[in-house]
Amino acid sequence: MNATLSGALVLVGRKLLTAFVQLWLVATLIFSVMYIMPGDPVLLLLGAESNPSPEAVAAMRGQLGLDQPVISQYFVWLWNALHLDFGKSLTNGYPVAKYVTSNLPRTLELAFAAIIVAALIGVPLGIAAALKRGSLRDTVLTSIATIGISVPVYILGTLLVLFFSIQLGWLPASGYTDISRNVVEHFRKLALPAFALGFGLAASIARMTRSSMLEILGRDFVRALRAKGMSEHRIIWQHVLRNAAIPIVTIIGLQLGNLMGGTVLVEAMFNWPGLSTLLVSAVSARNYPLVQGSMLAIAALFILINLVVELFYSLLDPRIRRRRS
Amino acid sequence: MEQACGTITPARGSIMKKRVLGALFALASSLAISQAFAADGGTLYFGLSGEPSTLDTTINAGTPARTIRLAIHRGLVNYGADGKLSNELAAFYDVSPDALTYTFKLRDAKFHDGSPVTAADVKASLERIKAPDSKATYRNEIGIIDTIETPDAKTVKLTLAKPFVPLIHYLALPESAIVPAAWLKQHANDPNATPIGAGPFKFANWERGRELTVEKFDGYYKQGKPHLDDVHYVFYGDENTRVNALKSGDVDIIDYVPWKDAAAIEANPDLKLASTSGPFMMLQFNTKFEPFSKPEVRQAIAYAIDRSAIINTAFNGRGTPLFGIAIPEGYLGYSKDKANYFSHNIQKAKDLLAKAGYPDGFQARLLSTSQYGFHNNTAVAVQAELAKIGIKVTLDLPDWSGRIAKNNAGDYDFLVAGTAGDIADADWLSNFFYGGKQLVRLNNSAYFDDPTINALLDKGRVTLDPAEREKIYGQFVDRALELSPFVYLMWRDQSFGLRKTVKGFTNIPGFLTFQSGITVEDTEVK
Amino acid sequence: MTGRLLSLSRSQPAFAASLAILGAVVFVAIFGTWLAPQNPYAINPSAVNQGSSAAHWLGTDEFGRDLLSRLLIGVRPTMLVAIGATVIAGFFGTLLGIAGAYSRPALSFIIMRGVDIMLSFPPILLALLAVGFWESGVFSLAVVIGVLYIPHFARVAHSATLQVTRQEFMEAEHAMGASVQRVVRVAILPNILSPLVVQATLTVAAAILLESGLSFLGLGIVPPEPSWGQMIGTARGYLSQHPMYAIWPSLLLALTVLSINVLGDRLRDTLDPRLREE
Repeated sequence: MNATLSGALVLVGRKLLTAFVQLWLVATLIFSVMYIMPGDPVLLLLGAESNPSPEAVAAMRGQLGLDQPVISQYFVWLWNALHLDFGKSLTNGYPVAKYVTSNLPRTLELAFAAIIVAALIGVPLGIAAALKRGSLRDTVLTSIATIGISVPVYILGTLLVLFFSIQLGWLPASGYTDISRNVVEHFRKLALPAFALGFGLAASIARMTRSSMLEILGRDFVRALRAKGMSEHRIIWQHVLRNAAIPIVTIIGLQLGNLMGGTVLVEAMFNWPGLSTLLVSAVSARNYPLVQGSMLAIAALFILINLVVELFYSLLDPRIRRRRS
Repeated sequence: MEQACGTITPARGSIMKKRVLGALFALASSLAISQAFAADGGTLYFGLSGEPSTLDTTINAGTPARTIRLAIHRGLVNYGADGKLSNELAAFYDVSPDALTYTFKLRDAKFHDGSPVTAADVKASLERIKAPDSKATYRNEIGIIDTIETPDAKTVKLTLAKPFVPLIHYLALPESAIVPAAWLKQHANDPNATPIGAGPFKFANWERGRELTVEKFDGYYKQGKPHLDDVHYVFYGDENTRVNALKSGDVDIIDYVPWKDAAAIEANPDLKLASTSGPFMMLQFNTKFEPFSKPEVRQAIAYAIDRSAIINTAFNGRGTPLFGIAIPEGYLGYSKDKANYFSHNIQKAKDLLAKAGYPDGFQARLLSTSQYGFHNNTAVAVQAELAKIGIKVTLDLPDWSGRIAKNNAGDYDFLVAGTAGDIADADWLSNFFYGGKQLVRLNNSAYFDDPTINALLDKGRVTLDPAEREKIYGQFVDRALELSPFVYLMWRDQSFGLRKTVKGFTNIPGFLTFQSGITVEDTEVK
Repeated sequence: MTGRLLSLSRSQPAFAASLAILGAVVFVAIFGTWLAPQNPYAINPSAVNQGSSAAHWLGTDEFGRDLLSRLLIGVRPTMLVAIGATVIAGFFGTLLGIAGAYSRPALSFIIMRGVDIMLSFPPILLALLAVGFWESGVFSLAVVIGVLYIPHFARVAHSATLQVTRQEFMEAEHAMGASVQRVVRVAILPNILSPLVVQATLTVAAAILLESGLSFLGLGIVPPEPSWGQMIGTARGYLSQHPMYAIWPSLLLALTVLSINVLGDRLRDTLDPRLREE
């Protein structure tokens, strides 16, 4: 147990170090991309419908520090970021960290809601299909799952809006209400985006559940148990499921990580004020510090969730534990 | 992020929600019922096509910013619901016969912080726009004012060095709002300061990325206004999402109704469409690019394009062909004869091209943006139309920011522009046609600089006699058509979508549609 | 391999159907320009957003252009992007993966950490940034999407190569003094091909979806060239008035991706030794 714990600590330490390097590289990459991109935040700031004079443009550029060489801007940004100061929005001087912290929980919430929907649908379907491999039930369920991963999320989302909010008027088409203001409204607005995201994920979770169930079912110990004459019911519920649970939970965890940036289309469609919405609007305003901040937050969440999943996996799966020590 | 502390938002009005919430929250539903009986009060949800980049009163940061600022701020004068100048913070004003002195008498109005609106506030506000380091959009126009005197707390005297007829119109723009001098002293350069104005609503909360809320200002100088308790401006960048929000009852009004959805909104028993014509679509040319440097080529394009091809495709039939210069009927310079100077005539277009030395056409790059459907689709339609006279067009469709940057740098052969004049006075033309020192600007055809046109525009803005002015702008139109630095395509309908429960909101006709936000002070919800 | 495929398609109708659909898609991608019954670029302002008719079998779009013709010529850019991206990702990814498994530890560490870093990004976000500063077109989209999937191939190639190098015949090759090139060509590549082929089908499907997602956000192929994703993105705005406009390309897109996924599944079942027994 002690060895496991210290092993885990070493693992966490190494992973955190890697994560740090990863984030630095990511930041550098975004920084360079943003400055190659055509477009100028100053022109947008000085008015979308007007003819700003070169003097006004130069003055604004100076005020925002954009007249400095890119290299020095980069190092200033990096130095500040090391002190956890991620700069201010170019448009209104509002701290990037505040933008990120207000939008981050909403992306997390949407992702968790979607993953719950997906797991509740996907896992039972996957198990059901695996238990009768090759049967009609399996074929139908796998086909549904394959269709599910083949339909882009924005097609599904559009259909959901058309049906549930415009046709039936049951659920709001889009938007967000703070939970502190109105609990019911909050969840009503969460429903459609969560389902739009969740259905597609359910399909891939079902597929992966099925294949990991099948893998376990094909293992020698199952044959041994069968040879010993244990009932099929007990084999599946006590042994196979327990073993398959680890890869299934891992897969769900990895999906959750992917969702950190994978909510772009859904957030855009449903006007969900999460990190991706922040990022997309920051990109179109060429609001460099905000692009950096939201992108870094997404990458950090992704890395963090994967780290947790990996840790969980290595603590639970005896084979990996053995390999590490 | 600061939260609106302790305020309970009353339940919103969709039928379904009332059913659910009514059962669940007796408190909320009783609030809703009490609202139904009162003439005043209530909450308006206004879906805007974007989030303002800034609320700085001196910068024209687009329609959403103007809509919000027109709830918070007032100027000496503004454009009212009828499109005419209306006295706001000025009770009345007087212009000297030589048009060199403007004297404003202020009414007893209060700012949101309770302080009275005084001559010193007006002086400070206008001087901020005029300042040499000012970033104000209309710095040049307001900069015409030579001195600002304040003989007493309620009188402001503006003196000009030479006459400038359109001044009062520039003072009516939302960018000439009056803010407290004390506030300016403290916060002029703080983009996060709570805005203080003398308008019907006071700033309450800005939840970045989502919505901005304003609350009724009890001390507003107009008796009995505003009617609403608060207005939530909710940001919907995506046009389809915005329309769906209106249809599902999430919001009561939306701006910028996409043309493809106008018919559905009209047909919906719960909704109505407030439409006007005023903004226009046009092509803007880089007059240094070889073929487009010749007026014949630009005229050929004016003849070549079937306007209905654009109106019916990019605007779902909601627009009017424009075969002259985009001067609305009733505006100075409009003449019936010149309104249809061009026509759809492919033969004439080909002849003009041949005359200019391009009988077989040429290749050109058309800048537009993929971010807005109507810009994108206008470009596609123009491309298809010009192919008919042998001009091979390739499309350059960056996002809006990229397009603006290219526009401002003159990095285009020609481009699709959709815009309107700033003011209701003929001087709006200067912004587009005047050469001057800065030959590559957002709104002019790059490098276009014609001495005759410059002289006429200079003369037009200093001439007092209306008949004389009429003549000058008549001459201007002749010259502008001859040179055609722009090719005008169409007047597009500009619409707001409203729930039928909304009363009193007006889409101000003509160019002023983008300032319709001012009528939120007259708006009621049932 | 061909024989196995044939026998598979006989026993599995879904697999046969997917092969047929993909065959049709490839055929249309090559000959679509000639198959289109009408000029797919000709706008007709008097016939916009129409339903099916004798003149336009599938109706028209918001410019009055023939939907069937546009769907047919829209296959080529979609497939070029998807296949181009897969080829780019497959080539460089495999190269990196083998190098990562078969080179000095320091280099291998750098390569595989680089792969990890690239994987720590949702592809659509990077594509969003990358497409923004490039003029978008078939070529640039293929390159951007291809680069994004390099790490996926690299991972697969890496782990497969590691497995192969542990096997005995590799020792033999080394003992015989074979050159690195020869080892890679003769011993490694043929033995890691199966997982790479499976990965390729996944990548083609993912690339189609990514291209359509980017087109949906307005960052795809430049109009007036159509692509399915772009058609769906546009049609979304006309959903309530002209639902078939969105449904046709959605159906075709979903069907194509579905066929590729079915193909991929069967290939994996056939090629993956762990699942083959039974």
